Amino acid sequence: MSAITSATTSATTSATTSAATSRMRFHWSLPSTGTADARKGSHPRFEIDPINDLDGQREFCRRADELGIDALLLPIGFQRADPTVLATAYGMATSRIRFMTASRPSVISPTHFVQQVNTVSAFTDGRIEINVVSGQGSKELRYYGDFSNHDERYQRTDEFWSICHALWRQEFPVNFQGRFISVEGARVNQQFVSPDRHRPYVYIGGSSDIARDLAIKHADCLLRLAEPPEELAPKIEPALRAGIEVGIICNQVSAPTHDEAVALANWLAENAGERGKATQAEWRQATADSVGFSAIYRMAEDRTQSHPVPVDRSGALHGPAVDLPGRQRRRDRRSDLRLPPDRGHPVPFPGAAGHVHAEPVRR
Amino acid sequence: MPMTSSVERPLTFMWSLSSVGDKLRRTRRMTGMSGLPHLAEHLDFCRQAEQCGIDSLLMAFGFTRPDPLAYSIALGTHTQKIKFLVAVRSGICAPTYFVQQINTLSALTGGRVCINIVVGRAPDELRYYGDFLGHDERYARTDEFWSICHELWRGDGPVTFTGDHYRVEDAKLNTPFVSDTATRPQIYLGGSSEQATELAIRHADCLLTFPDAPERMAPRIRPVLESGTEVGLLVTLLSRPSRAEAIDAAQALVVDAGEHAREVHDLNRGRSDSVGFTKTYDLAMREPSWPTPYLWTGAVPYLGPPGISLVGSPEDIVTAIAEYQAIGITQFLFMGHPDLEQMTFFGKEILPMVRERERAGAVS
Repeated sequence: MSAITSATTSATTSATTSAATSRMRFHWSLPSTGTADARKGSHPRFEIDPINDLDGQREFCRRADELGIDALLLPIGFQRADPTVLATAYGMATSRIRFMTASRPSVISPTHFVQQVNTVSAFTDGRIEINVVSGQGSKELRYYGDFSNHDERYQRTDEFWSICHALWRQEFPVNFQGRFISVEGARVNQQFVSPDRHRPYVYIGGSSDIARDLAIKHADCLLRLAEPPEELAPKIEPALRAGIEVGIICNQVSAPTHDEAVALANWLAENAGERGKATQAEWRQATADSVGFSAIYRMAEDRTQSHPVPVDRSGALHGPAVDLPGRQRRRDRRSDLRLPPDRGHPVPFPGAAGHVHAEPVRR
Repeated sequence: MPMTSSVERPLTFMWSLSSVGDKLRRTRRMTGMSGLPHLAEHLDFCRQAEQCGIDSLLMAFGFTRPDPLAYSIALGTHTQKIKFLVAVRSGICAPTYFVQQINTLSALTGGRVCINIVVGRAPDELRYYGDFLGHDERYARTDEFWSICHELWRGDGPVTFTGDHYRVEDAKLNTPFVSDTATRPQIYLGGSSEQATELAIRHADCLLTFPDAPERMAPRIRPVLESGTEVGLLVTLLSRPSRAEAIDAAQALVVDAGEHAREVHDLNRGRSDSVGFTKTYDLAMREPSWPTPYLWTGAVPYLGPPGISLVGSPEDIVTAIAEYQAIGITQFLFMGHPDLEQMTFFGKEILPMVRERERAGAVS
């Protein structure tokens, strides 16, 4: 997992100048299909067994805790175990790291959600953060009883978070009448437990204008998929101007030299194979109403764009999280990479290629 | 006949964690409670419950409490045997998501999770959660909720359901319920109305209800037992080495709670649209406080319906349990004052006699 250090290079690149003085924060996405899975992201979703490696996941959390990762993303979806439940268990097994728990507003009452999050905070000393996802694929949302379209989903998310924030501000009794959600006289008696916060830190992911506006209204950080810095800069400008932070989501493919990193990236794509390609073709269709996902799929299709910038390569088959091959800066940690002796056929190792969420900080 | 077979079923004993370490919780106004969990104390209680032969602990739901599901993981990952009876209301989350959360909990605790379905009793609190339905509609929605949950647990392929309150299309989950013995959690349903009874028969393994005199309960629970669903009692246990000491403890409880508690419960009573709660409040008002020599309603005006109590020496309690067992009751969910001492006393002085009686019965 020493490869994480090189992410500093790539993440700083996309930070605005004003952000350069703040401490960059690095997060990692907890692998849900087994911590040693070399084909992560290329499996058909229906075949994923999310609980075959719970002990390995717990170990991964402990390692990340030791290595200085800021937070671990626990994604949400029918093919996964529940992120809030996992955050509680793994939060109690670690001491420092935070858990970025994905939340979909259409599956739970906001009052109940705040109560759950506050309960988890009490067991983890506030080490729970929320990653608000409005949902990428409408077909899957129907599994959960959510039949709304893209714009309706964002409106629901807006209502949900208006209520959550009022509850965290303890504006009791909270009364709210929305199109999708209404509460009357709401209160929760348990507070968010943390040394320095009265509510969890909130991320909102999305690439559409509506997602950006929602992040400005309700979140501390807008999460976007990686793009070349000069293309990203104008898109994130409104969020930065509004005073919230911006983070990027991407894969990290790093090795001691650039060539090795590129070889590793190619290996990842080949290893995923036609099956991975088929999985992604299907997923692309299922997520057609996600602005961010569609843009990345288009970028990857354009072969001239396969390396939009030297460290940004969107040709891999791991879905819309962009790969960032780069040079490993800390050569002394090279032994951690577990590359085979001949270096000719790099194999992935736990944590070498994963989703990293780098978060350029405002001011 | 289910009624005879239930007599042979070993009795199951559960305890409520809902007011452990919070002496006379039920005498206070709800908005003043902190709602934060007492983790260390509750972990000790869980471990003691494992020692005492308690099968599961009730994790109650409400705005004054920690979320029972998250709390069960915290306690479950630090215990070995004890199960968690997680209360859930329909109307606060999607059934598919609920099953996913419970299944994840089962995977982390080796299946040590059961469900207590609560339909909700105080409409003003239900509105905190965005639930604006009336009593009967809540039952209709709860029925739909559990139809979807059961279908997901049966695992016969994608679930499509269209109801008045819920609609899902092609629902599936990759996280299964993890247990050595079952493909879904044991399900309890608390309630006393006719709708509750029907719902328990359709969806639950056990109906949990407040006690009345056995001869009055028998006809009410018969349809439930005949359907193959168990019946359990939710009751406070007030047992001491002698009957006189137990009665003293009962009186002391009322004195401790005081007139303030009475005012709180006059208020709570007006807010509730629950049949079980109203019935038990009425029972406490209408009758002398001893419907049977061991069943005491004297604490109900002070502690609310869950204050209805089995009172007596260990021998008295064994007799009481036997009388309820004779009408087909097989599970008991206890509360105590204080809980830890009463549960320890139960585990040491009462449960061995109950098991001895069961063994003798099995032989004869």
